[in-house]
Amino acid sequence: MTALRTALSALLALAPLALGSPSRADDGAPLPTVAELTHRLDDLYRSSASHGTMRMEVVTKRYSRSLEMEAWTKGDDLGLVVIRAPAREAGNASLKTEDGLWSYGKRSDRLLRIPPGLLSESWMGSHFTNDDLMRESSYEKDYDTTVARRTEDGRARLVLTMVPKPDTAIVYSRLEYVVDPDTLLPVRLDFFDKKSVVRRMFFEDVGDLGGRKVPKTLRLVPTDAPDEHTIVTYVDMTFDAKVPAGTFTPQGLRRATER
Amino acid sequence: MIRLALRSLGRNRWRTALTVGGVAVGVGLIIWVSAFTDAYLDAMARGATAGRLGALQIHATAYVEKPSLWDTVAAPDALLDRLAAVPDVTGVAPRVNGMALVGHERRSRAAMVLGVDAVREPRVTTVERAIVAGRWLAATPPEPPAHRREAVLGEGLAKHLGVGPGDELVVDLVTADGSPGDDAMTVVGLVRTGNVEVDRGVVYLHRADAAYLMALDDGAVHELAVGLAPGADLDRARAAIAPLVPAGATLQTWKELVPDLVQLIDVSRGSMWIFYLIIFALIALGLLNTQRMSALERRRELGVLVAIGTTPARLGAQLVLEAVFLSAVGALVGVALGSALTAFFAVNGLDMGAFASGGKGEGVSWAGIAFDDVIYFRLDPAALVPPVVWTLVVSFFCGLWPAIAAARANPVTAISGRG
Repeated sequence: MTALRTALSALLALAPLALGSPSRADDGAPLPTVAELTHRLDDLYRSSASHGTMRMEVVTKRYSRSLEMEAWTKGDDLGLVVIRAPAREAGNASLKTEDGLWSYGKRSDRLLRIPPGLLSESWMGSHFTNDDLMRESSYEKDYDTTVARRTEDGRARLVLTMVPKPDTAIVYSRLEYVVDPDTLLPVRLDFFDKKSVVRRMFFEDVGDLGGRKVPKTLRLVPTDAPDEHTIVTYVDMTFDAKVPAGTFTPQGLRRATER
Repeated sequence: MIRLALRSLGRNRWRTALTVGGVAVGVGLIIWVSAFTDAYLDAMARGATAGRLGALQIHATAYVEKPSLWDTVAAPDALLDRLAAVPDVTGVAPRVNGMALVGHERRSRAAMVLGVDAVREPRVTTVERAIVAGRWLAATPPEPPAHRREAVLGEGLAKHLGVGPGDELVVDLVTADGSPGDDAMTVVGLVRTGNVEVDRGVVYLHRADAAYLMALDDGAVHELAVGLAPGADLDRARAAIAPLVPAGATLQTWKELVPDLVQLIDVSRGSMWIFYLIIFALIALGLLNTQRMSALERRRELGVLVAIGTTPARLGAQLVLEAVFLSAVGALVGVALGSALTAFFAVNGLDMGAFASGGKGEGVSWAGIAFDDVIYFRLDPAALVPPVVWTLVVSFFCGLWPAIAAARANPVTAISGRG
């Protein structure tokens, strides 16, 4: 997936799905192959480079907070997110390179590498973790994926079940990717720890984004605090944008934060 | 009878002098030690309140149960001024409490952040006087981004980080909304309050800066510390302040805030009785010995007195009088001695630093409570009375036994020296 991955540089663990063998549903109707689904989902947001703006709203029982952000990506490894509003946080940024994830504090003008021990901590106070931003696990390599049909609330859905392979360092025991069988657009993603769902991401507000028809809003809800959520909404996006390679360097970051 | 008693005492001047001396030293010691204990415990209480606590504090009620970044009290200036206007209140210090990672490229440490009002804080605590390098926070916070925000560090913390006045320091605060709370500030001063907790782990910031960086509402504070004038009555002040406490907030005296310390002080005071008991036991033994010896020595003389018609009651009374007189003189000398010593330390102070392992100038710290190096005794005339009264009571009973024994003696055997 890739909305976030594209925009926030692999924000989420939803990247290319494994190319598996075709599977069959119980009713005998042909299911799309894993490969077909993968291509469809991949191509939704895929681009060589992107540039866009988005809003993030974080609601917890303690506070609610709203941010405006500008983001650039290039390939799968490079990403830069700069906060534009509110004023108190404007200029703070996250930079992702092949070498890791970096956090930039505008006031202190400090670029700090997020140590591996803090990868599971919250990203910018949201319900996303640094790990969501960083994860580079390849679904092709790390997960076994199967496809099945399911009916949810009277609607037919395709469910991709992704189970990490034994020797991978993935914190979730299973991911369930719920897809609309007609549009092949993602509807929901459930993250499992052992047998239970620990958080859910909802894909909403399907509409035009940079010329593509995709979900423009991602809503992440932790299961243990159902009143809380983080919503990321894409305001605009240029796919296959011209993004200079120098963007993803400390200098490029400082240039971007000064605007 | 008094003349007789005096004359008897005068007969063995050495023994009398020694006994008087013993009583005097005992009484003097009690007076000095109780003055010392009072001064020491007072210093401890002052150390607890003057360094950081203040005499009273106001928090959000939820904060009292469990301190949390989000449990704040709205503290508009009007409220602060009203509180500060209460009689005996020296000042009210609004505070924003938080945690931060402070440091620079090479070193960092977790620290407690106190966002304080640069003007109001010194009216409650000794922090401004505790500056050992640089200066205290400016009365008006510098305006970023043109000027850097100011920080005052505990001396130990600064030493650990290797920073001093004028140096840059990155402070990364834990914020109320999860956003980054970082800023590069300038260290303007270092404090040595004597309170280990403060000196090794506290960063003082301007309250407005701390609230902004921590993403707290303007005017929100975690704590209002109230300072009281020396000698002010804590309970009376509490009653006067209570009506001004905003809804949802709780007022506590330092005794409620650090009950352990109060208990410690009570136990220390209480345990002094053991010491007094020992001193009185020694005085009693000394007196008993003197009186018994004196009565035995004068067995013949006493026998003669009985033989020529002195009643046993009169004889006994005379011997008791001797004992009481002896100890009265001793007690008075003791009072003079103890008072003189106490007065000396009231003026010059006792340097507790000499006993502390930390070395000079570090302040004395015990159980996390720091107090001054030098403690000044207070001469309390009321404290002089009990030791004297108790000495007289003890001496009365000590005189009684030899007196009864002597009065009961058979004059015949006493005079003949056979009994």
